[in-house]
Amino acid sequence: MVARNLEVGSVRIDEEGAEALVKFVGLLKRLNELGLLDAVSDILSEDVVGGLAGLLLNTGTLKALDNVDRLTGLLGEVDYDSLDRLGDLISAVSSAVTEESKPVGLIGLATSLRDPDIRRGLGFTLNVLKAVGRSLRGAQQD
Amino acid sequence: MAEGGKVVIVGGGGGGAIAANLLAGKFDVTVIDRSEYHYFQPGNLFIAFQGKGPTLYRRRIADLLKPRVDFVRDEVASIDLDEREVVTASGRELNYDRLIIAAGVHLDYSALENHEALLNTFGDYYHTQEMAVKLHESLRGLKSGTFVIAVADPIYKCPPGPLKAAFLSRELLNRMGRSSSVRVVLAVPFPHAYPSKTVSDVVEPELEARGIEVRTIFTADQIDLEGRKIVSLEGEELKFDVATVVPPNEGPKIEIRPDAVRDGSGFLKIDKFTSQVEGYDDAFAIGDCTNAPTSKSGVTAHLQAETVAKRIMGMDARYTGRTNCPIILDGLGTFVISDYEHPPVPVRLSKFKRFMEDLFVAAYWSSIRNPGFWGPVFEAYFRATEPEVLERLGGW
Ligand SMILES: Cc1cc2nc3c(=O)[nH]c(=O)nc-3n(C[C@H](O)[C@H](O)[C@H](O)COP(=O)(O)OP(=O)(O)OC[C@H]3O[C@@H](n4cnc5c(N)ncnc54)[C@H](O)[C@@H]3O)c2cc1C
Repeated sequence: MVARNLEVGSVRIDEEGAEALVKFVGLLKRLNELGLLDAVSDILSEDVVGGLAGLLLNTGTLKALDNVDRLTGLLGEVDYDSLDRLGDLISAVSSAVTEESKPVGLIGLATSLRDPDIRRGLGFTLNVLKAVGRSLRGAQQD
Repeated sequence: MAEGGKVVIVGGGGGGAIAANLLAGKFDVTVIDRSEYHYFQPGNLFIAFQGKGPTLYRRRIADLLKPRVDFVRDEVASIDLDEREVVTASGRELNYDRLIIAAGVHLDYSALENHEALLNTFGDYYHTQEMAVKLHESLRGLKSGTFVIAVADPIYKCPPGPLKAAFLSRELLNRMGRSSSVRVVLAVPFPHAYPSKTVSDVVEPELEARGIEVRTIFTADQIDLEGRKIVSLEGEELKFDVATVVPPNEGPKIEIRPDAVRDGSGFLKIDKFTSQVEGYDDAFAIGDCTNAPTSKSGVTAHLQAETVAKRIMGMDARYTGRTNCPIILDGLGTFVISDYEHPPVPVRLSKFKRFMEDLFVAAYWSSIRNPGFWGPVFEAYFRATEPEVLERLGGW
């Protein structure tokens, strides 16, 4: 048991405070055993904290953080069921980016249209264009 | 005895305490302040308009300074720059190798007739914590009518202060169910709600949305306490039931020799980059008491304190004139970000900036006591939000 109504400096510690203090000392002992007190103390140095701040606080992160409420709001709008297919699409597009591409004229375009994959892609693109147009119409009416 | 020599610092407010703690141990540092406490002045707003307790926003100066700094509680009466001597009201004489004057502004409540009576009747959010408590009581007692927030001179510390008072008092009155029975009127000596048009464009729609009335080009000049009205220099009248007026700000009430180092309002003439007092390489002035052409703000005092501490330690450092004055309203915040080269850049109101401001407030006491630890963190923030960079990106 701890003494009741302990005085530390000008602060009087009542029974509840004493109980908290005992728990806190227990926690400190555990942190010390694990060597975490030393680690935390080392981490809280000017160099480490300054280095971390330099890494994390830049114009880009501050701009992004400033919009974090809007960004997280957008997350609610995402159709998560379509994410897998979107993922496939993104990796297909990324590999196309690294493939060599040739300039194509009108005749080349007409010949390409015989390729069933190109036709499927075109159908999809038209769908996307339609959705973009619909959304723009909404935004302009606002 | 530290090797560097003797540094005397006049004032243990934002600028003085930071400079002292940065130089502690490297020089023999003495801070002289007439006050036992260091006050976190933005706290006055929270006391007056949110009913917060004053003790949250003050600390004993002796506890804020590192153990190796000497604290002398006394009023500085005179400074002789040629003799390198500081004399206090109780007759102490201190000599120095380097001097830092960080004595803040003198708030002149005697310039406008009846201003002192107005202060004592309703309280105020610039004067002291006691007066902030009184203003809170005045607003609680105002069941219906008009609360006027006015300004007596375009140069005063914390330019967004009156704006913050307008937003926060509106919030308080609304919470007390007086959204329609009490009007809040903000009267400013500028053509817009804030000196900078860019900043005004950000805040004016918010003032309007909250029904806060703005009277522009209204420089409070006469206070008629009986008739409950304020008359402006421009000849207009404003009726009130409760009012507060930011008084003219002047340089500190200290006799400084030679007098030529002061401008007409008593502010110390300094090199705006190095903070060196004009004509003296062993004397510096920082914070609100100087004539530097930038906002009088805690951020300015802090950055100038770092600059001067570095220079005294033999490094080359220059203050860019950077400001970061916060404007806060219910749940949102923005900062007035500018420097000597760039007028305020567009900075939109956001929840994140309000959160950042709450973080700055929470870190205040720690940043005064341990400026060396916080230095690199603030530096990263200031670099990330340099006016030049933000301007190029169209703002923040
Ligand atoms: C309502 C309000 C809100 C504010 N909000 C913000 C904010 O959000 N952000 C911001 O950056 N700034 C803000 N400020 C401004 C900020 O508080 C000041 O710019 C800052 O305190 C300046 O620091 P300083 O060291 O120059 O002066 P001060 O902090 O005023 O310190 C001056 C010290 O000198 C002492 N002194 C004066 N004369 C003598 C003498 N003759 N002898 C001995 N001692 C003397 C005083 O007792 C005092 O302790 C606000 C100010 C107010 C009033």
